[in-house]
Amino acid sequence: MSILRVLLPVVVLALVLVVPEVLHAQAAGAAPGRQMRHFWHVFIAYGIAWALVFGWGVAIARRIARVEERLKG
Amino acid sequence: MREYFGQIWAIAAKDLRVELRTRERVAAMGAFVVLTAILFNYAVDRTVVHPRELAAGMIWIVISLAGLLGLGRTFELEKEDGALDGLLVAPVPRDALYLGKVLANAVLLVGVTALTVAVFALFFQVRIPGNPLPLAGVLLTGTVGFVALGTLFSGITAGTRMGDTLLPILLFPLLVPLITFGAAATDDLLAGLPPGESAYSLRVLAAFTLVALTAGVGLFRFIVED
Amino acid sequence: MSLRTVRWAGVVLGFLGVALTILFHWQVFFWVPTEASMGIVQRIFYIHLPAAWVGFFAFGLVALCSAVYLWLGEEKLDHAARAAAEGGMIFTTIVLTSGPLWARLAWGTWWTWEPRLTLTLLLWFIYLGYFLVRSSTDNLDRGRKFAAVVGVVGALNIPLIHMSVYWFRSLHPQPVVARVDGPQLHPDMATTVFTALGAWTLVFLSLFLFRYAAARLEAYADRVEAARLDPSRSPTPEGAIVP
Repeated sequence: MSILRVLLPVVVLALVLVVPEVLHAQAAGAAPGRQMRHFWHVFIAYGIAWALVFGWGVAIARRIARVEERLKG
Repeated sequence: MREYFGQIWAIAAKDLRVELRTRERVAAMGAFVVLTAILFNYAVDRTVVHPRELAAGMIWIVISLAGLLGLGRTFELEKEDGALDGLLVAPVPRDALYLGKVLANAVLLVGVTALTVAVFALFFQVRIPGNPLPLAGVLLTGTVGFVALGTLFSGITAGTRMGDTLLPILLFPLLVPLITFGAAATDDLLAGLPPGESAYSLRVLAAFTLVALTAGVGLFRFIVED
Repeated sequence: MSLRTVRWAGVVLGFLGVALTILFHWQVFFWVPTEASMGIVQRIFYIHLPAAWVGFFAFGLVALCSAVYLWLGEEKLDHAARAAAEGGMIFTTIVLTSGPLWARLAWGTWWTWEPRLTLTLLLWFIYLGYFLVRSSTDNLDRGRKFAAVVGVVGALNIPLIHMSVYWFRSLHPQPVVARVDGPQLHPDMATTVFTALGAWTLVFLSLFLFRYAAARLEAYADRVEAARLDPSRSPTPEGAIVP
């Protein structure tokens, strides 16, 4: 569980830093305004997906932590 | 077999007798249908859309909403004074109990359906086709399917804190086939197309009704057990 | 399956899933060619399709576990169904958010009554009903049975709903991956989407197992606490999830 908790934020951060550069490099030549719009939509879609999956993982980790606390007490 | 049908009929007759004496659900559903039709008159600009064009869809929406109103009460009455417990200790299989409830609800809702069509014919000059049998077949099949699913789910919602408010959330997503093919067939028949055009829709409606009845017969015992 | 096995399976699948997730993100953002007509926004496809697959797979799991639960009455199966339903809700939500974001730029509209998108929306509401029934029932055992019935009836109706939504004409691109004559995609795009499919299936299975283990532990904790109040009832032991 703790593995996921450490890995996922790192992956998310790395992608957030790197994605705009790459997309811009690949999209050279097209109209810039339209490209920005595309970039935002991709970014939001992936952001929501990461947040949901990661959030589910965190919720499960918390649930397990809570029940272990109950079993100890 | 004879005994089984006798049991189904006994349950249905009991519900219908209660309904005949109080006339609560019939009055509520009937008034609902007529009042919705009146509101519909003011909701649609008749100079732009002819009500005929929307009639098939509206009929099915009105049947669903009126049915929802009545179905929610299926088990409400049984909850009072522990009537359901009495029913459950009766030597009747659970699925006969379910089918009896479905039969009683179907009788009520078929009446409401007929009223809905009559109201639309009267208020909005919707023309009933010369041979009304195909239309009656479509409406009857759909109504029984709706009741089969609705009775099962109202058994569930009666056991929850949310009660009737939960019923549309459970029921409506599963009604998509019913509304789609029911409205399509009704639209074709009201437009005067030959009944053969709606054969496919009628088959899908029949499949829906069969699936709903099978699911209800198989699963009803899990929701009334204590 | 003992809880220890469940935990190890969860850890292994989780590792593989995260590794594949990193790989497919690298493929999506650095490697795969940009689609010619739709442009960059087409990259949403690489999460949209795998999420839809996982969402439907999860619902299959819910229906299967619910049906067997009703048949055998094993509490474990209900825990599994519930875990799968939570995952299904997460992944169908991803489908429903990524779909419109793509459609807006690819077809110029946020929402289309596209059959598969509509089916996913209806599936989402069936899941919602599944959870509402459970949470609004006071008796735990009845709530489980209610939810299982909703799960099974929902699954029985899916084929008919599927037929209905296809009754309407489709704006959606025709199936490009599951075709008889092989995928029609650019080979690099196909590789990427299959990596994504594998990655999210593994991530889902891993989280599903952890969620299932959590539910089993919670049920065990309930039994332990009941036994503290009434020592005559001693609970059957469950393995601890963290060593």
